Amino acid sequence: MRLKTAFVVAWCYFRIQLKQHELMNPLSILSSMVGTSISIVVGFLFIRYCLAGYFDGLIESLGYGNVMGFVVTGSILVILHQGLLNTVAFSLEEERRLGTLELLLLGGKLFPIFAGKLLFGLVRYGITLFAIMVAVVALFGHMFELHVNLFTLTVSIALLVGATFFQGIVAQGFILQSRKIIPLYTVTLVPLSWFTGATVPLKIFPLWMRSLAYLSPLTPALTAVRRSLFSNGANVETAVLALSIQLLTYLAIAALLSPVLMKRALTTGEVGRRG
Amino acid sequence: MSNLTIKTIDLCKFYGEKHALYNISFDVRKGEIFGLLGPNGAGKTTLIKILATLLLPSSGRALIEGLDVVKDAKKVRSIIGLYLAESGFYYRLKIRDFLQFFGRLYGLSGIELRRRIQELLEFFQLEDKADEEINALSHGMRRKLHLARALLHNPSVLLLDEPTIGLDPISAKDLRDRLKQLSREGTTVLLSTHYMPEAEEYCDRVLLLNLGKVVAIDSPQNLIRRHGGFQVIEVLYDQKRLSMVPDRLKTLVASRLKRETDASIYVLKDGRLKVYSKNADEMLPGLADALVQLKVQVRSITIAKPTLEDVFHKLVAGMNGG
Repeated sequence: MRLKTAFVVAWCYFRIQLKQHELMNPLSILSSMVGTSISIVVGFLFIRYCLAGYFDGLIESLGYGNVMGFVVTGSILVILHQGLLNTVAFSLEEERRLGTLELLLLGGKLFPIFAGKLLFGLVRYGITLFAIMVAVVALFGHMFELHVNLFTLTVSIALLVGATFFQGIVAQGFILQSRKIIPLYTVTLVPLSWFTGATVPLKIFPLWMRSLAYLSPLTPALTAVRRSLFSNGANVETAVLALSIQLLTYLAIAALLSPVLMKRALTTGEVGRRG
Repeated sequence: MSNLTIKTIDLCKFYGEKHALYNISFDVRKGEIFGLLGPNGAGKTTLIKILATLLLPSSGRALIEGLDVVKDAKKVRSIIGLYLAESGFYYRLKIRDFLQFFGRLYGLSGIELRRRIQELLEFFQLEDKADEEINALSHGMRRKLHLARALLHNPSVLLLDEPTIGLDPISAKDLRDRLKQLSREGTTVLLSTHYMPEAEEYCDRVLLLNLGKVVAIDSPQNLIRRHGGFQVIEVLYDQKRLSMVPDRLKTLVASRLKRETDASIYVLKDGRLKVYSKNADEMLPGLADALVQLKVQVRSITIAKPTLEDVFHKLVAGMNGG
């Protein structure tokens, strides 16, 4: 019964978000598409550098088509990860600004609220990414050499979504403490996504940067998705395992830290402080 | 004890060095309308938020129906209905959808939820607007909607922060009548207001709060009886023609009445000046002279019995050493 109530609350909240954000607004989709296109252009520049002799061996090992695939998957996953992360991380902040956070807290069902928000994020970015993928396949589809393993692809994306969800819950706990944290959140997470191997291969970075990149679930997710798309899921196990560990780690951190951070926000009165 | 719905014991709230509430102890009986009165910054909202489990106290305890607001926060949330003046809306939702969402948040569903929503829409006369967006509602209707939301799960305790602020007189009276009806049906109502006549007319008992401290607790009638041993000279003057700031007027009038040691003077923002004195009749000529000397355009001067507002001003002045 409690599970059913949680599902119902999540669904209702998801529908509220659809209405509040006017999701089907073509301008909002267009702006996301422009954002993604910029990432893809960066990828094209990378291809140019490849052709000019940089990153030796990459094109030979992947083929021209798969370099394109590399760039496109990178851009799409960055948008998906960053979009979902922001959606969950700013969920309570948005409610606080609206003046509804305290009312939600009284209901005592925050987890379904986060779930509803995640679902909203999936639809929001799903629409944009689907539109981009249709355009990419229509324009460049003939260049790709796809060998897809649908099962590992689905598992990889599901694990990325799960890890991002709990990562977002941890982040919202900090954002709830003070709005001053928001710029810090932005300057930490945005550059981090550049070093995850999204548009350029991870192996070109020094070791310390690569270690840092593994703080983000995007890093193993990129490897897992690319191998699922272009190599029929060969050698995907390590990346999937790393992604699963990330998910469990963020889940544990969220479970431990969120009550502490909420208690702190209730002590300082930040919960009721509207912007 | 079983008749008590709300009880606080030495409740304190500090923000660093600054205290927002200091040793607040009071209790509220079942079915009572209990008013928290005080000027802005007195700590009324802080106290309500602590009782609503949305703010943790620095020390002391607060119990609602025997449940500790810190240790049993989850259970407390299920028996209270909260209305905050500053609460927002999902503006693009329809009224019915808004109530449905919060009903579900409180675990209501199906026929029970639909019936409850219908009851509340009728109770607050919102049934004609049920399928309109919140965006389209007037300020008064939005307040009614928030009250309806607070009542969705049939709470036994209603915590209301400035429920009538910004309402036109008819809507405010309507709202107060509805609160009175809820109280008769057994709901305990704790409301904060800085509108004293409202409290005097509708509250069974009031707690006067100033700078986070309790000034007095009693029924409005008892407070007036106990602390209202003075008369009130009320001067209505033309604010627009006043050639000085009201505080300066207060100082000048006080200096001219310095022989009247028991007099307290208040200049209100709405063009009223009040003098509290045990010998109002004797003081009146001197006051009139002072006002003429200061070139204050007086519209009327009356002598009246003190109201709750006057008692409050007098008590706060005593507390502040004024």
